[in-house]
Order: sequence, then C-alpha cells, then structure tokens
Amino acid sequence: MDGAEATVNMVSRAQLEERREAFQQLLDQEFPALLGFAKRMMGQEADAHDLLQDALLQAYQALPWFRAESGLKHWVLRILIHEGIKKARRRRLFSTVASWFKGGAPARAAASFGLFPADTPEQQAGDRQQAAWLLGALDRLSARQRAVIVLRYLEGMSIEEIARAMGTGPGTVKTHLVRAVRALKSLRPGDRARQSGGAA
Amino acid sequence: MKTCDGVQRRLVAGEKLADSERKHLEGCEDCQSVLAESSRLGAQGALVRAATQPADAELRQVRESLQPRLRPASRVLRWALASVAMAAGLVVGSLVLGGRPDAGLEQRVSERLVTLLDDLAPLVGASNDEVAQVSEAQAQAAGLLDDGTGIVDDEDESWPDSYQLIGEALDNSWL
Repeated sequence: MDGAEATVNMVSRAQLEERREAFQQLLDQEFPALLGFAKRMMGQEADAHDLLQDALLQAYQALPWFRAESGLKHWVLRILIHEGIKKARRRRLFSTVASWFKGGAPARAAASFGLFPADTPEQQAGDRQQAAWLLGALDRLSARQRAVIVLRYLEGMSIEEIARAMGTGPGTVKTHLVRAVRALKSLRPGDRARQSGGAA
Repeated sequence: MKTCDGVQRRLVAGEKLADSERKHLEGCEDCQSVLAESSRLGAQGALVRAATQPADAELRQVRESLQPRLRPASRVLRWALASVAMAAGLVVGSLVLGGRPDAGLEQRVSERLVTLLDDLAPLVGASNDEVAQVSEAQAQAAGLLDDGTGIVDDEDESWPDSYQLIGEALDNSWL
C-alpha cells in the first residue's frame, strides 16, 4: 500500500463517529449471531469468547480504514473468520505439541459445551451426541478446512459467499470442502473400523 | 479420477450435475460416499447450530467484558505511533543524506516503512489528526528519497554498511 492509498483511506471525524455508531448498532442487532458463529468456529467456549472480543476490537480500531462499499457486517465477519483461522491454527499447533508430551489425543471441543464426545455407533444415536461428534471431529481438521465446513454446513453459506468472506476464489473453496468432507468421512467410526479392518 | 474430482466439487457445492456426471455418480462408490457425507454434515450442522446457541447470560457476560475495550486508544499508544513515524522518517532521511542506494533498495525501504505505518495505525486506533501526521511523515520520507537533492546514485559506489544491513533486515521481513 502506498502513501496515497493511505491518505484516501482517511476519514473525517464526523464520518468516524458515524461508523462507530453503526458499529454499536451492528453489535446490538447481531451480537448473538456473531457469538454463535464464533462458538462454532472455535468449538470451545473460552476460545470463542476470546475470538469474538479480539476480532470486534480489531474491527473497531480499524474503522477509519473501513471501505464502506463492502458493508459493515460483511467486513466484521471477514475479520472474524480470518482471526478464527489464525487462532484455530495456533491452537492446533499447541495441542499437537502438547500431545507429544502427554502422549494422548488433544482434548475434545465438545466437552466445553456440555456435550459428550462420541466414538462408538451406539453413542451416536442422540442428536446431542451427533453434534458432539462433529465438533470433536472438526478439531482434527486443518484450520482452513474447519472454516469451510463451518461456513458451508453449520452457517449454510453458499460457495460464493464463503469465497467472498475468506477472500479467496470459489474453486479454492470447493477444493478445501472436498478435502474436508473426505477427511471427516474417514473419521467416522464406521469408516475408521473399515479402514483398520482393511489394514489388518 | 478427473470425473470424480469434478463431480465431488459439484456435490459439496450443491450444484446440479450434468447427465454424464449423474451417470458417473450412480456407478462410483467414492463419489456416492462424498454425497452421503455431505448430506450427513448438512443434517448434523443444524444440530450443532442448536447446541451452540449462546444463552442470554453468556451474551451479557461477553458483551459486558467487550464494551469497555471499545474506545479510542490511549494517549500513550497514540504517542507510540507518532514516535515510530518520526523515527522512521529520521532513519530514512539520515541514510539517504549519507549516500544513495540503488533504486530497488530505496524503493523497498520506502514501501516497507509505509506498510509498517499502515499496519501500526489500526492497532493503536489513531485519531484523524494522527493519521494525517503519519501521512505527512510518509510523504516526508518519500520526499527525502525522491526530492532530487543532487545525490546521483550511479556516481556513488560507496554504500554505507548500515543502510545495507537495514535493507537486508527489511528483506528478511524484520518488519
């Protein structure tokens, strides 16, 4: 970015006040949806709270640089997604390193929502167990794969919407989605049993 | 395999399949399993949404802890930004007055400084006045490099080591 572009991004004090007001209104209307999204994005309550607070703070402080054409809600969501991917990546790295020392699998996300991780077909009978299984399985995906699954299947966004929100192309989103779906399929208990049976 | 890839990309996107692709799907176990998993995820996604709806108390708690943080940055942070801008201007200015580098390095140093200032500004929530100061510092830095002070680059082969070091540090993403 050059100096001229930085100057173009400058806003008057009145414009900035307007944006701050619009930001507060957005929080009033969309806070439950944003927090819900952060929870699904992170899978753990404490991480979700951190994510939402950090992303909103970042967005608020960057309001002078906000380009009005993209829409405030869309812009905040973009920041939330990018921050979520960064945090999920860090957490994944941390939990991988931690598991080397502990010698066990990383903690499951679902436990923090009061759900129970489900490993066997019997446990998967109930809705809550199914939701718990998915939240736990999402933790095994890469941060980007996790994000596309959350946006597509949990938030119900279209490929184009996901591409816009992630700042990438629809083709890339589809590639990540196919890989993520295949990875989740391989984590399903039935599939895993088949795989280990085949290996033996 | 190429057909599988195309079909699976359409399946996860919820796009309509062509006749030939539909025919392929009927006979391909791998593609069928992706379709099945995709449908399962659609159903389970709704369950996860329901399980992760924030409760009123949780909403209140998160909002309350966020609200006090939503205010313009403190004076200390604003001063930090202004100081970085001034220091950057001084460093570039003194280096340029001490000798002129090749055009590529000069351009890179200038660009990295501008990027640094742009990155720092939102972090400290600078006010408009401070943004103006930063832009002024940027312009000053650029002006010092391009103001035709009479230092001719191709006549001056001696390049100060310090400038070279800074250039290398910038190249190595030191900033």
